[in-house]
Amino acid sequence: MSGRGSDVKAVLAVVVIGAVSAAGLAFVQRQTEGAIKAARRAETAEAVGRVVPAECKVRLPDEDAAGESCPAFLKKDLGNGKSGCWEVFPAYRDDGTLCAIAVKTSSDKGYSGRIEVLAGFIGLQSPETLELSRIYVLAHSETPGLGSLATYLQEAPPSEWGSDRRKVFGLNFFRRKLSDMSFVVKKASEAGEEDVVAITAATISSRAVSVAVQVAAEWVKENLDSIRTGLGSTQEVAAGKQEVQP
Amino acid sequence: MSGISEITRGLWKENPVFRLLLGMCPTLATTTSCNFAVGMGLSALFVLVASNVAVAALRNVIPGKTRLPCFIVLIATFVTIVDLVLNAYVHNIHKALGIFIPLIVVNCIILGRAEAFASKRPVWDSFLDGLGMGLGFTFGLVCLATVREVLGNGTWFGFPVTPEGYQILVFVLPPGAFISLGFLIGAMNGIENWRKAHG
Repeated sequence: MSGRGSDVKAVLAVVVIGAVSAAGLAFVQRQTEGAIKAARRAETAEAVGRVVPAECKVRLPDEDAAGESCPAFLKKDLGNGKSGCWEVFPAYRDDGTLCAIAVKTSSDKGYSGRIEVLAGFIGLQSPETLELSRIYVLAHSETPGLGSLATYLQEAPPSEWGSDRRKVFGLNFFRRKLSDMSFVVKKASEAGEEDVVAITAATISSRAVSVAVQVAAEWVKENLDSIRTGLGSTQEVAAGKQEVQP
Repeated sequence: MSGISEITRGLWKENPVFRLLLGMCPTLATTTSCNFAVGMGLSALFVLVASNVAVAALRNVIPGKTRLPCFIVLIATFVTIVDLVLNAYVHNIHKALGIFIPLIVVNCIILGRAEAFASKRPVWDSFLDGLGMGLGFTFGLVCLATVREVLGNGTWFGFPVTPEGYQILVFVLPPGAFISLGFLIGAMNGIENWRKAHG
């Protein structure tokens, strides 16, 4: 009997400690929930702000509204019958017209796996005027000092970048018309103006970033009309503003 | 006096990184930069102190048969708190430390101190032990990160300290972690031997 009693006590101790811990965690989770959401939102806003021109104001989607479903024009085929959503962040001019979009894209073909990139696009009037404004590597696990150089100076303003594409990888995607880009990654000695200059000793990482940007660029080019219509007709946004401030 | 010796023991004599060689996984993985090392060290320090205090306070209530599951639940709770708080208030460091924060749950130092020390000693002693071990772990990580960041990246806590082009890349890569750790342990043994020889 005493053996069974001690077993019950032992189990009870785990259950009570588990229950108290769960209650404590629920409290901490509730306290930090808002701050975590705000930190993630600020992180996204900062990254989007970097890839769109300074005169464009970023408007992040309502977090609560974001979920599994998305409008038809943002649907993405993930293969094997699965579908997902493109993450697109629009930016508007002061008069409410759409001036740029940032598209989150990725490639699993990095040297150490997935590389996530945010690509900014301007010149949304037509596929001919479509231009890459800038890219920003959001996440990667590439080798420090080699593949990680894809992020070199990406947080600095382009005025500090100079013009050496061998040094600053972001220059390959800075203010480039899509019609002038091949997205082919080549060594500096072989690359033409339309090609992407590979980071020395990190061709795989360079290619992964280039592929990720190319996928996003092709999607934007093919769906430009529906993106422009879907992301808020600029007139509607402008009209909405006028209603608020007559 | 005994309080100070509890703390200094973790810092030097039984330093978890250089003497006990515990928690090697985060030690090698998160020491590419001093900022990450401090973030990791302070996270482990909080968990060590909190779990040591909780285990010591409950040592007469927790039955021997289920003490390990109880310890793990307590440790996991404190680690999750650290994870949530870092994510909310120092998001960049949380992002950089990634998986190594949740992995503090299975860090040998934490469970080792709970089992070997806190479950047998009063709350105050366990608090000091956790503090000393946590500070020792942080000290070890920062020492290793200093070597790796300065030599491999040319910076210290993000500030440039060597001219561009004078970095030795291998130090920020995994082999550099092993090499640096080996030399630091050697240096620590050398100092200890010298201290013994000279009284």
